[in-house]
Amino acid sequence: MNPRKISGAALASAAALLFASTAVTTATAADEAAVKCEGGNACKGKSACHTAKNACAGQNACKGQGYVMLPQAECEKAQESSKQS
Amino acid sequence: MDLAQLQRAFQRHVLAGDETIAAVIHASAAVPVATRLAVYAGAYRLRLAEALAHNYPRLQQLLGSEAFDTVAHGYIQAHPSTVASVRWLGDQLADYFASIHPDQPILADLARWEWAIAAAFDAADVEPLTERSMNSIDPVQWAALRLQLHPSVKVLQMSTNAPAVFKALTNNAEPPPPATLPSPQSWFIWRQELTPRYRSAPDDEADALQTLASQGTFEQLCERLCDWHDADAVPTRAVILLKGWIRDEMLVRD
Repeated sequence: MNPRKISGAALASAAALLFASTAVTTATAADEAAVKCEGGNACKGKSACHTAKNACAGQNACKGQGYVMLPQAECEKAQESSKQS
Repeated sequence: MDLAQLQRAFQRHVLAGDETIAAVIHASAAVPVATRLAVYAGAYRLRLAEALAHNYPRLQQLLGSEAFDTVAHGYIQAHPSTVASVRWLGDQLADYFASIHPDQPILADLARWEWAIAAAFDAADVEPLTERSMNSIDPVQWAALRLQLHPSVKVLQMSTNAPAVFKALTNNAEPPPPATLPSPQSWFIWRQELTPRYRSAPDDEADALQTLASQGTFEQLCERLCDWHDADAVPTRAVILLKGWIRDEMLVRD
């Protein structure tokens, strides 16, 4: 027993007919996620000796730091010192 | 030791600190054996940590390089790399965050999010479904139609504001404070042409797309929408959703 007055199959064909006759213009906004295309190992292998302190990339030392794991004061301190250097 | 034995001994040293290899390493007073070997053992982990950061750039940005490095080294220890390509390093990072920072669920959410973005980025290329090809299908056949999702499409349930944090970090803006949502929010992640995209999805839409993801028919999709809408409104809602997915290139031809 189908509790609904209209069967799923009937709804499907109704949708098919509507599909051909309806123009939908409402666009749902989507965000783009920038993904860098550079190889995941772009700078590896250039020096077997690179250490934690001279890893070749020079990652953004403080950007976003302190947000989760550092207290705010420490982040500001780090930002200060990275401005000076 | 023959070459195979040398390689295995070297690997045991790099992975587990086994000292067998030390006996065959040349050394000088200035650069002793331990220093020479440490270069390779250290470089192995540094490179993996760096590869992990490439797979999770926003998490690294959020935590800062040092905190991320600590996580990366712990992760590499807990989940040793087993796949030849570093592309796949980090598939367990969300679970790892959940285990080490259960009090900060945003970290696991953000890891799942970034992994899904990366997967959308390099998912297989398949010709998207067009309105024209839908129009060519006889309306009586629509009920049995099994529409296929593009390989890049992923539906994620987020219980935190990780997507908002991701978006801010992507734009180099100050991320909002981490927050847990009153109820989980569905998100679609997919790739349109060469660009990964994401948007939040209302519950009825997420349900409908899940029906397709689990190989359901269009009839089942319509029945699913009846859980959310009066039957009279279902065909219109189904058409709006379908046209949106087609326009966003989330569906493919059979």
